[in-house]
Amino acid sequence: MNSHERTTIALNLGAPDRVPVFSCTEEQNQIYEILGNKGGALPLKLIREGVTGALFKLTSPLINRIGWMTSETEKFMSKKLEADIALGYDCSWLMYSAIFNLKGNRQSTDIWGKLYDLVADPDGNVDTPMYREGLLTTPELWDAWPHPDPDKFFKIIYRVFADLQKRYGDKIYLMGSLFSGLWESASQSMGLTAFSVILRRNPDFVRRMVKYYEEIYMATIHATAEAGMPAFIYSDDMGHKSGPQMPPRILEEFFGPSLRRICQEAHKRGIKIIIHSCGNVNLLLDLFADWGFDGVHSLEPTAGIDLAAVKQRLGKRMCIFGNMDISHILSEGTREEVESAVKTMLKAAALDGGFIMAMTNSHNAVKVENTRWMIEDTHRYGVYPIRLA
Amino acid sequence: MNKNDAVNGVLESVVSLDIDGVAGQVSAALKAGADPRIILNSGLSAGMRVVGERFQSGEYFLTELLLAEEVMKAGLVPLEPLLTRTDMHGKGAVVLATVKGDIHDLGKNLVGMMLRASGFEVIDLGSDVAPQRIVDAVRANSAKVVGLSMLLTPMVVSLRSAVEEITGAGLRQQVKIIIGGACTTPGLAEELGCDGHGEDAMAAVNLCEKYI
Repeated sequence: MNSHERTTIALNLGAPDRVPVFSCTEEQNQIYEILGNKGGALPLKLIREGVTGALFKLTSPLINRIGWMTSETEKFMSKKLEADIALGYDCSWLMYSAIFNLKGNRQSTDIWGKLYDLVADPDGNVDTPMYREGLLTTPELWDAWPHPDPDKFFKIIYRVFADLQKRYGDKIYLMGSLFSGLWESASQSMGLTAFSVILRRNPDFVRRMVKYYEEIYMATIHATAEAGMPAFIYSDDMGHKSGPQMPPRILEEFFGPSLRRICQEAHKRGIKIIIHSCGNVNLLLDLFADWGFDGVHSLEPTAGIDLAAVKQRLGKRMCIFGNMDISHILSEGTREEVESAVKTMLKAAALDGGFIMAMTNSHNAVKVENTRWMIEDTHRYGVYPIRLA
Repeated sequence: MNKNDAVNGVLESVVSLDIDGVAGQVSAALKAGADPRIILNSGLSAGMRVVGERFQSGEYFLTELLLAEEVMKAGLVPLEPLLTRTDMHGKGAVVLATVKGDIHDLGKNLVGMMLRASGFEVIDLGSDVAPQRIVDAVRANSAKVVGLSMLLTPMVVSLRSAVEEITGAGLRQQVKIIIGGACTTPGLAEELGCDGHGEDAMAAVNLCEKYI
């Protein structure tokens, strides 16, 4: 069985030859280590310090205009897939993340109106920018922002996804994705506090915002399908450590109808759609299934998610992805701890199929060695029928 | 309207997240003759405490907690000119920081928000904070509590360094250290010689109330 067949069967809630393994790695330090080219990464000090730093600061509008960050990020998406294939993953989360522009040499903005700090990974290389605040704190500012046109956005996504699907799609099962989902885009472009106030004062404006992001997602789903990719990861962090960020009934009222339409459109175009949502989403899991998602990812143990309970609750409705801890097991766990975690997870969620092994998120503290152990142990213990004492 | 009813009306405005009505309720309480400090403590702050407890119990969510802070700010507009700094932050100083190497700050910010609403002075040093800055802030503000936050277990090294720096500076008799964040536990607090672990923002407030 190849990666495609294996992943497809698991997504259809069946048991393939063995449990597939999914990559959500987005970190330069790991990707270049896997590719044996640590020098390939981009050092943050090049952007922030010295002569080059001064140049970046002075010329950031020009750099944005010529699309340097976009082009670097798109190149990085290729490297990510090469690393995933080299490591032996079956399926990969391919996030379209070429959405950042430099703001001087210490911060960046994204196309949705969010402000980020440029941050370094432990090796000093550029890491995923850290969200700082929303720039569009009022409806007037949101309306004045140059939001991408959905039709033009379709063309950009299609160009990139079609190219990557053509080059890598026969070697690994690709799941297209976009940074970031309806909830994150709406709440983070305004800032969560301003969003909370506007939700109370001007709910019609919130509906209008969500409708726009839905159109962007529809365009992205179409581009994913046209590019020939078999699946899509809808990435939207709706939880925090102890629960959902907003009341589930509000989420359903304001975001539910759009998410139902997005899932329906994905299915109409013949692609699977999986939701990624960090944090404690226990109260949202049934909604995820009701909205029409085929799978659910992240399921963070440090946020109180019990994998066995999720499997029992949703295993007949959704493929379960994730739950491998990055806070300790994959960042500093021993060989034995990784092995034990894999076996525990397989017992909890994989016995009758419908499970894909995955770490809960990408983080620069995750070790490549521990990731290899996770994959090796899934290959060793995840062969169907799974026999674990 | 009598004074007590008016102050209760302020409390209810906060609890019901009435951002556009709270200032009117505060003005009504003032007009009824309520002491500004009573309106602050038994109206706005007490309301925030109820919101915090509802957040802790799962009845309220993050967006509601953040909205409540804005309600409190709106309620303070007519009240602030009538209050002294001691009235507002009289419970003492708490230094907050996300430890060196960690840039996540949502949980720490929530703790800061609830502490301010409860009458503490909060010195928020932000994220990725070097141990020496924490020591300097404790000294400069005569802080009684330090709250340290982190997301991942590799940051335990930074947490340990911060605790050691505070201890090495001879401040452990003066200051209690509490920790919180995704992978922190009561066991970790004990192992590092800290004084407490807060599972969430309200738990952190309760610890500060206990220690100051």
